[in-house]
Amino acid sequence: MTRTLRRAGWTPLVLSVLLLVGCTSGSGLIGVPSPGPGGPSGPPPLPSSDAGLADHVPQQIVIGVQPNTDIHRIATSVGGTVTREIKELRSVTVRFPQPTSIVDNIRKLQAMAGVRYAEPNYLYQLFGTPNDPFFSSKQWGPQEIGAPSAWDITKGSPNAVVAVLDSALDGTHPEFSGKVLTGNNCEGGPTTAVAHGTHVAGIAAALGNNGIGIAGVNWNAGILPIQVCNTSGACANSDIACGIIFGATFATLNSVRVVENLSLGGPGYAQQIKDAVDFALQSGVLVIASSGNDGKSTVLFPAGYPGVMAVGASTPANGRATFSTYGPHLSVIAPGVDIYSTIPGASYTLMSGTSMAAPHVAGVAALILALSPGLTPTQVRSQIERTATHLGSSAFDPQFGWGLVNAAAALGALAPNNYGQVQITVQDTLGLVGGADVVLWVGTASCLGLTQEVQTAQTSFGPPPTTAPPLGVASFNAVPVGSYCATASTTTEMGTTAAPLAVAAGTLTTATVTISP
Amino acid sequence: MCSLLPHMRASNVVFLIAGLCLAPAVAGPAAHTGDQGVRIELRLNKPAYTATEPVEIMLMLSNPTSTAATFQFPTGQMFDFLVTRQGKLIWQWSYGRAFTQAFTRLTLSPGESRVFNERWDQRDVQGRYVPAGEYEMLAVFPTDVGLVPRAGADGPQVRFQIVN
Repeated sequence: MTRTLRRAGWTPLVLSVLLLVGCTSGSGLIGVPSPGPGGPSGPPPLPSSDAGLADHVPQQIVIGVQPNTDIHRIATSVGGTVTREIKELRSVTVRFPQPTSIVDNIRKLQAMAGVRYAEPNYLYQLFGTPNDPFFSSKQWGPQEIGAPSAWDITKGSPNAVVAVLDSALDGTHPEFSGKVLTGNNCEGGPTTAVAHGTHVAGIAAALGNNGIGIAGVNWNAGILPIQVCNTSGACANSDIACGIIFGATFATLNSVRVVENLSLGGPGYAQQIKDAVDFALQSGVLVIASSGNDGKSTVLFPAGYPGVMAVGASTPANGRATFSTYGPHLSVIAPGVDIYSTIPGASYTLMSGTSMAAPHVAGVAALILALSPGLTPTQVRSQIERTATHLGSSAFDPQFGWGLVNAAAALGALAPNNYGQVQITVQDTLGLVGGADVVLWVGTASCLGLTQEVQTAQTSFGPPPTTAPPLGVASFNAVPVGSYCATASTTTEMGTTAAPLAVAAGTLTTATVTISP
Repeated sequence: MCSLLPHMRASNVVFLIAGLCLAPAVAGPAAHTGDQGVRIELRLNKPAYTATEPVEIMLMLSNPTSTAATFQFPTGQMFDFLVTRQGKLIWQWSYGRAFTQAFTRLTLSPGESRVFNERWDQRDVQGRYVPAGEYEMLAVFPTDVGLVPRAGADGPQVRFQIVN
């Protein structure tokens, strides 16, 4: 891993004597930035006391002098002892035998003739490397997705929560200290903690830099445990729907942002879960799911629902893991082979699967929300997709989706939202029609010869829940930018939009379909 | 049995009674197959059920060998049960379920058994109670990556009846 050094605790500065060009002799103005706009950055102004200094070695000062200046005399004059001299730079490191004010001594030195600069012996840290002992020896996932660079921007926030919809997890694990929220047991069975849910939670949000174990992708995120699977890893659809709703309601009631991670999947499309996902999106909750482990181009669910981010698994060589399900519905990939993370009993182990990939992305999504809590779920999704490291094709590739999730880039400049919303109103001669099946198709001229189905929904019978569309309206919450046609049908009537609809990023597009026998 | 007793030796009667006492509580149809020397046995609690009566299913994995047997599954799903009638799929246990998407390992030590108990409520995949008739139950052990359990796959299979 390439390491980048930065001054601990300060905003970025130009480093060291090598960059101080054209400094005046003995002026003692080193440390005071040049006046005027647009000047080169330099050392910061001295604070009034040592408390305002960035991390530095105590009782030490670094002095640089002009040519033909007796540097040792200068060091002695302030009561210091030279511990290191770099003749090529005409500088020494001076140590004071007793605690003394670094700032005061610097000011004295700066006033002396022949002194080019005097500064604390600052401490630099490796760029975002946590002190968790297994980070470098056992983990590769956070490093591969650029998490260390991301941590220099944000390490997350307790107000951007990762909800783990899974088996029961071990909330007493030391890596989750202080961050496990009160969740819900939708599955209804014993709350015996097992490896899977604990492992997934650790990948996303294990405490980082706490001197033990691993570093999660998101160090400060709260963990909301929602039990939707039994101890064997079987998860009933109705329990999953319960869990999705709970996470969405939690977000609303507690005024926090929630990212839901579902490291589970099955072949069956369930309308109840689709409706729950739509409810979550309307509540500002992003839903992320594993694409599946069948190694084929198969749509499993919940990954296959349009509003859900489907995450496949990558290898340490940035390839698609052979077991990772892929296809046009894939969003991104993330590390999913031999992932080291938490298990019950304050322990750790390796596990593999798209179960391990999804929480990497959930952790990143929560980092984005920690930085920009006002983003909508589709904006967060777009940000992750648009900033992913492209693999295979230059843009979207069904094997890799938009590419390998890139945590650092995802925290950079906001990319354009890739998604809009569509609402289709269905009516017949009697009025608005609830319960009609609506299909969005890839648009064609005059909406004739439709062959590529994109998304499906049903028109609402009207609220409740309060987030349900009005009577006769079908809502599509995450439609990729493009051109579409819509058809609507009941058992006795059908109709089509007369012309394609253009879906633009971040906007709501509406249309009406009139159905007839 | 009463007509047999006068004609049996006392010792045989003892063995017969002992055998009946030791008969498994789950006394319905049973079948078994094997994998890596492990016996995979499917057993139902009854050969015939009345309408809507729950069908109790037991799948037992037994390792009679002297070495450990390990199976790896691509997900949290370690088995499936399929009910068919005249070759048509009526119900599948995994239907309506999702599974954790991490590779899962099951190890049976020498002499160790593992039992899975499930239940079928006699509803088909549409949620409707099934009619009376002859049915088959197939147990599938999905250890292959990408295997989608389906009728006709290898595994122990039993027949049972639903009566009016």
